[in-house]
Amino acid sequence: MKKFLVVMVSILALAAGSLVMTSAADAGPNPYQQNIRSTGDWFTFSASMGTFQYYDYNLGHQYWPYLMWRDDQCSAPLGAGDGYDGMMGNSCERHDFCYRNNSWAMADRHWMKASCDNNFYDDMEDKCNSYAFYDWKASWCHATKGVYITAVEWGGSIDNYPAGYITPWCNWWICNADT
Amino acid sequence: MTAGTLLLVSCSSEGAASSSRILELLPRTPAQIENMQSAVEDHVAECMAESGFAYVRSDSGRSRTDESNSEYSDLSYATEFGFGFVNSPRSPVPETEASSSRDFASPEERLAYDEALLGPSGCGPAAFSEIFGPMQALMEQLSEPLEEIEARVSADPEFVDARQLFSNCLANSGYPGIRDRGELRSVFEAEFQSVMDGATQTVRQSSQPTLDEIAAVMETQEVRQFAEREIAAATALVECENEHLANTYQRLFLRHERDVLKDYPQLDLPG
Repeated sequence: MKKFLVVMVSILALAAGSLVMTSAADAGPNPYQQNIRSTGDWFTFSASMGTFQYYDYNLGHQYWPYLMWRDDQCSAPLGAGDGYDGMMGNSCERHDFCYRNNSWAMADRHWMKASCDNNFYDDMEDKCNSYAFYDWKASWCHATKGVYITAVEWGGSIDNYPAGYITPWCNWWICNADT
Repeated sequence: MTAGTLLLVSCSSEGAASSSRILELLPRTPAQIENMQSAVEDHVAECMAESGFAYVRSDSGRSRTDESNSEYSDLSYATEFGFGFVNSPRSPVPETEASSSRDFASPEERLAYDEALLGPSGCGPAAFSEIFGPMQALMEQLSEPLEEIEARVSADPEFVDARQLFSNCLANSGYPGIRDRGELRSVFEAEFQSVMDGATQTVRQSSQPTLDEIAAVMETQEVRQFAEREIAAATALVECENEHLANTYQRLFLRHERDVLKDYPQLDLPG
């Protein structure tokens, strides 16, 4: 149980831990934010997972330093192999990327979160499709997907966090799930 | 793959259809997950009403069911996307920001609402634990026997023979020395990295490439040719699996599941 909760806590940390709120976003994105948004949008919503991973691991930091790339918040607890514990690691990484970068520029934070969560679901679905239909891990993956998407949808209200504040916030799931 | 086909189903030697007792316990289909999410919403609405708040149900989870890529079978996914390195199913880029913000008379009212919904003792966390907590506990219980079954299937002489046939099938399709899906995927993952390195050097004009330049990378001949190769490989993989591994795996899984479950009498399984 503890092991599973560690994974869940990590997922919830993604859902909650890095939402960036800016007062400028309330007034509409400036050109800098628009650039972040267009690039962040492309890597989140248009690029294949393989393409996203390539730039996330390799050239993203160099080419687009204004975007927030890997921070190991997700991959450290989840990435210890491609077993079932780690099966959602890449989906989780892009979900984190989506929250971190798109929250700069999207005026409607609820819409941003819903868009990121929907994309997270698609990425998890894609991961589940990578298992053979007869493999028990495919069933496991779909069940896990249901837990994760519900967890992030209930990961907290983004209205609680003031403008310009990068949370390291902690709701009861993150702080108390293992107690 | 269609989620509804995931349950391991096979015909036993007696000819009667049988299915995995363990996997039957996992909610896997969109409908099953939706039911659980709907139950969470029910709990939240009731709890919020008791706290004096009108809660508007969220349908975000359920609305995506028809839009997800769950309609792909193994083979249709492979023939369209390969392993998904260059292309994969993508939802449309959201274009409009339809506000879903709640209206509150004051900031204090909003904070009170959020506290009731998402605070440490809030209705949301309580409902999530109520509905999904038992499932998490169950999955934790099931992981060990599932891995034991997997190990026994992999070591079963029948499966070893089937895997050899699968490997031969792939070799005949031009992919020698592959023992399982993960190995072939890894080969192409490494190649994708190399192809992208080359294509990026070919196209890149600026220190901070524009999206047009990145799109140009994905349209280079080497990337497009790689996409064709990954589709061919993934298609051959699924065809060889379906021909040589699928039935054997399913049959052996059920056989070893029966044996392994004897070692876990504490599991309360149906059937």
